[in-house]
Amino acid sequence: MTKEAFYSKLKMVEDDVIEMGNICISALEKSTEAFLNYDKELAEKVVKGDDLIDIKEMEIEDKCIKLIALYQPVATDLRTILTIIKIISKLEKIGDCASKIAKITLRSNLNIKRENEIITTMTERLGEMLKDALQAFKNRDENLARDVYARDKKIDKLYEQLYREMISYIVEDPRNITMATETIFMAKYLERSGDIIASIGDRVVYMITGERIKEEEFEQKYKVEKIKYIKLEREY
Amino acid sequence: MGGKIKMETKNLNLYYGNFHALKNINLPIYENKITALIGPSGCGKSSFIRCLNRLNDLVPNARIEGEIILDGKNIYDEDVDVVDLRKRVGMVFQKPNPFPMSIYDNVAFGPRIHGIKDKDTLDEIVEWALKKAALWDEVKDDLKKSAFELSGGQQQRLCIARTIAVKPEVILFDEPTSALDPISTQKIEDLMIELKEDYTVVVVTHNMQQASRVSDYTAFFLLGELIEFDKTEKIFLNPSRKETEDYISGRFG
Repeated sequence: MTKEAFYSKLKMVEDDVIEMGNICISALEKSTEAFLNYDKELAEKVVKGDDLIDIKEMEIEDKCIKLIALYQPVATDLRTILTIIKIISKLEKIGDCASKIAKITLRSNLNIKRENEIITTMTERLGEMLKDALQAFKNRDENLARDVYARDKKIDKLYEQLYREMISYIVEDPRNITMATETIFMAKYLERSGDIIASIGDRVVYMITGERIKEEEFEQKYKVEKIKYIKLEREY
Repeated sequence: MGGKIKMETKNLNLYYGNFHALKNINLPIYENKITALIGPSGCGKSSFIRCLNRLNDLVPNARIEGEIILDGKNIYDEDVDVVDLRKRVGMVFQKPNPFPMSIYDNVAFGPRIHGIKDKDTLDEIVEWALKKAALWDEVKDDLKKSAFELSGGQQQRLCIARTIAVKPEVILFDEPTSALDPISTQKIEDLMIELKEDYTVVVVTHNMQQASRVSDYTAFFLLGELIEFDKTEKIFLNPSRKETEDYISGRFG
């Protein structure tokens, strides 16, 4: 009976995480839309909406702490709750990225409509990545979580492509400097969001298997076992 | 897993008449470590711990196959002196069971049986054992008092003192805190951790948190089988077997 209560409460917390994730997807999309359309009103909404994301994070964290204190979960149950605490902190950072993009729009004096396919593509891909990360979390889908982690490389590539494009605009005509730098700054936050979403994928894998993808990468990179990380720290 | 193996069971099978209570158990018990045995009621963990100092010899119809090695010697060999074995492998039971005599005599009981008669030596042993069991300060002025006048937690620590008075090498605890309140429980747990410096400890417990708090290794038993044995942190963070996960997460049992 108590176990049923625990799982039903955990399920509710998981639903909260999904809801928080969806708010973040929407914030990223809206901040991009506001940036491309020079829509200060929409940008203002994104900035205000960030408070909602922060509140959600605190609420979910409190619920997790209560679950730990009252039910002392172990093994997968414990990893799930720890993963949730990590995920919500990452989602909050994505919310910050969206808010920072919106602030670029609010500060900008360039009243132009920008058509930038790379930015549109980046935002779409990020939305899909985050949606899949949440799906992987919900359905305990390790393969999907690994896939999300891997897709970050594509976002990085898009960012590099955009960066080069903007630099060439600047070289072509110094009057493009403001537009190009704003775009680079904005895209940097998108790129950062990609990193964060990838690390959510990593945490979901940890939740399911108890192993981290990053750990596997370190082990391959340095040809060491987990226990020797400390030695690495001393060497580098 | 590492360290020196103090005791080890090899293909251990236990039958009570026709009932196959323990099935082919292979379990190492590491020296100066605490090994916790967990599992639902009737899974065989108490039967197992009772094999380790041959308490099952006293059960009619009980039959054992396989070996239990203590420091390289099978304790079921014919030339093994059971009294000597039980001196080396002591046991603390679920309910405190002090003898109906004074605190002093309870602790001195074992050493006397093993031939120590000198008053000064006995005094020394009693003081040492009661100090080790974290009971000395509470009883040093009332050593002649009946053991039954002590609280449950004190009685259990007295039983621990009585067990260690004969200087065993391995101490078996069969649910030592299930009849105690949280404060006494904590004292016994602290004591177990202290005792492992000098002894090898095996503890049967129904309290999962106790197993995770005090033990270095955990063995999970189910229906007479050893399902999983590993370092305690592995068992409680990421067990290999689903049955273990279900049990420690409280999904059955």
